[in-house]
Amino acid sequence: MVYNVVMPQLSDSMEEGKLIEWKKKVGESVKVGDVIAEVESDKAIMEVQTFHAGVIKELLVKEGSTVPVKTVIAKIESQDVVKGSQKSEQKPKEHSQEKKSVPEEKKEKTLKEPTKEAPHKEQPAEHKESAVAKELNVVPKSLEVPKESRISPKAKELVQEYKLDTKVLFKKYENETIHSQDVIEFIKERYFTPKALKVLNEYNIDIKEFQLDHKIDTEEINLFIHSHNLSKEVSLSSMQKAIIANVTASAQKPVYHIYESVDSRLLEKNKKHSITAWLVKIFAKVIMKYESFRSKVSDSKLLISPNANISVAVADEKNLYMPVIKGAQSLSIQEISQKLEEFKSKLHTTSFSSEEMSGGNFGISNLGMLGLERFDAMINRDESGIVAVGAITDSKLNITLTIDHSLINGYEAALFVKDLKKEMQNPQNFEEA
Amino acid sequence: MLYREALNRALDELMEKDENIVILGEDVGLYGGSYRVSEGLVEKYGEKRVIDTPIAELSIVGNAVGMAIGGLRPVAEIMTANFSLLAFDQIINHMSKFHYMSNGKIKLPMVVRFPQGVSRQLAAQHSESYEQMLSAVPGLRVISTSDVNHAYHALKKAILLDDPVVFIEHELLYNKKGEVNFNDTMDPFKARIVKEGKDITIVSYLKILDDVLKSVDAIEKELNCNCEVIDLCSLNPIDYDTLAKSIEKTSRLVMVEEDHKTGGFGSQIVSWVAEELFYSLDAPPLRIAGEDVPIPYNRKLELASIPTVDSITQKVIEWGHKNGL
Repeated sequence: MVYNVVMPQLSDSMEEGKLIEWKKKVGESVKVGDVIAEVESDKAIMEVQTFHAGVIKELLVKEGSTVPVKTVIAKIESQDVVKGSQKSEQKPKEHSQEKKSVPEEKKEKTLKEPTKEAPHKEQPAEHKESAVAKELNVVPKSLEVPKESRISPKAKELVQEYKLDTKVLFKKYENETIHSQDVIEFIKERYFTPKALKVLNEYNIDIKEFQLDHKIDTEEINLFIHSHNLSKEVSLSSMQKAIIANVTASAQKPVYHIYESVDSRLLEKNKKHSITAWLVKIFAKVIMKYESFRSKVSDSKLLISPNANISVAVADEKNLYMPVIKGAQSLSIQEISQKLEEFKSKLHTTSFSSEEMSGGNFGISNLGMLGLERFDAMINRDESGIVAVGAITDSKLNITLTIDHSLINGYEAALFVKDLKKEMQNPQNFEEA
Repeated sequence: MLYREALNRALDELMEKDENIVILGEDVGLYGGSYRVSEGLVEKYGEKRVIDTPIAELSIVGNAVGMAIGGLRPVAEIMTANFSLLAFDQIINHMSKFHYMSNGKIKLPMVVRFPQGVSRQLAAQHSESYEQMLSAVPGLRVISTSDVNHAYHALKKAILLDDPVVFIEHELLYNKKGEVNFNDTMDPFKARIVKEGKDITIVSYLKILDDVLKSVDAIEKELNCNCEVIDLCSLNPIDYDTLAKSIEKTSRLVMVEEDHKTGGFGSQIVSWVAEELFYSLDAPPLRIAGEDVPIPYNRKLELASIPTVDSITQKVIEWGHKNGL
């Protein structure tokens, strides 16, 4: 295949150019982007690069001579037979290709000029469009808009920038006006697999980041995401926002921690109900003895609840709720277990009402079943404290209490823990009734 | 704070600091200004600095020009734009040109303030807008202020500036409420992005901007789109950078103004877009402006002669449907 190299038009006003020097000889092989000559326009001396790889077949203009713009100055014979034949199904016949490469080179310049503010920084073959055009097997003609279609200026710019085959586009939008968004959709559909497109949109990546000369798959986009370290933007769910607000508020509280281990032999004996259930029951009982554990500050007054309302952390990887078991002191262990089951099943339907989530006095968060030996938890909303329940080691259950110092002082908390320890050893508490 | 209170506060603060600042105009002193902008100032700064003038607009601006040449910083109030016509020779031939004619030797650190626009049944001779004429005069800076915070900062900047400034207010804005951020370091000549969006750029200024903002919800709902609303703030110089950024993003422009359409200020914005941003457009720009008629006295006809919340909503929606939204 033989390609023509023409005298490029390097500026609006350039009508002819002087060939200063040939950089390649006849018979020399060239790659895409190689400088083959230097020409002088009315403004400056510029390099002429080739759009085609191959062997210089002919140099038609002598050094020092001046020829009009678009005159063929050299011919390059392409050796790239393999590549050529791959695309031959869609490409026009070799013969016409040869002719059309002339307007192509002209188009590279003239199309861009009206929009770019400084159009005269010439890099004849360096533009990404040229590479795109080469691969695109579409040799753009001047854009002919069929009578039944209209195209917006911005959309037209895009069509030309990406050298799209407008036949398909116009067919798709027959009797409609094509807008830039339509063109972008068209480009996306054409050059990205549906899966890739999803990722592209998810990460809000500009299509300009990609060489649009082949179908782009997820693998390529993922590579791009990793190499550019792009973060995925996920908007916060209302629950996540609520959690952030709650824990941030909680972090402001003046708290202290009590690290304790309580006797767990009775717990281990009565495995019919979960540790959490038993703890709700026993904590409720002890809390009933301590007003301050059931109090909260509201409008510079202390509100003391008549019931032990225990909030229980119910969570999976994504969700975290603290629904409240109200009046836990008067519930049987069966009733408590049943409540906890209810909470667990609601976790996946996320259907806790604000009523169910409010009014707690004290919280329980149990992660012992996941093997955590010990941790501490953050106080939920306006509660007085929370117990973080770890694993059992040597018949001892590790618990950490986080206590709001503005409501409960250390001495009182110590008494509370003492009582708690006693109740954990009291078999009456573990009777089912 | 009210819009007129913000203007009053700006005047008061600067007059306290610099005794070269004087106010002159009809009823600016004892009466406190027709729209109460200079309320309380004559009591505080005396009749030599807050000067009640005769009903002679040419002399008000002429005197201000003389004061400015002589080293004062006058702020002249014209009761409404309609009467500024009588002062146009001073504004256009003198105020705008002395700096140039004197090869920069004479500076005119002065402000001419007036309200304009359609108020409520003031009829044809008291409802006009003249920003299109004044913004076309080289040598003048023209500020239009629609926002309380902007009004405060822009008037201060206008007074402190060594260039002559025409400061345009609107009769229906004086009682508009808003907050002033006293620590704001805004450039009052920069356009204000009042609401961010990605699909349509709506450009406006002065009172009609508030109507645009009221219409945005219905537009966005109907067209399922996102409008960016820009307050020009300064009509000369025009902050083209902010406009260009927005229009390149949205690729659609709507220009809304209260003034008569033919020769109106918006035509400058639209022609600039056609010249500079043609290839960024996805739709022909839409101009919403007043009818080419003298403003009628009859209330229904008066409202029919200018854009309203309803007509803006309807026109933008119609245009949006036609243009791919």
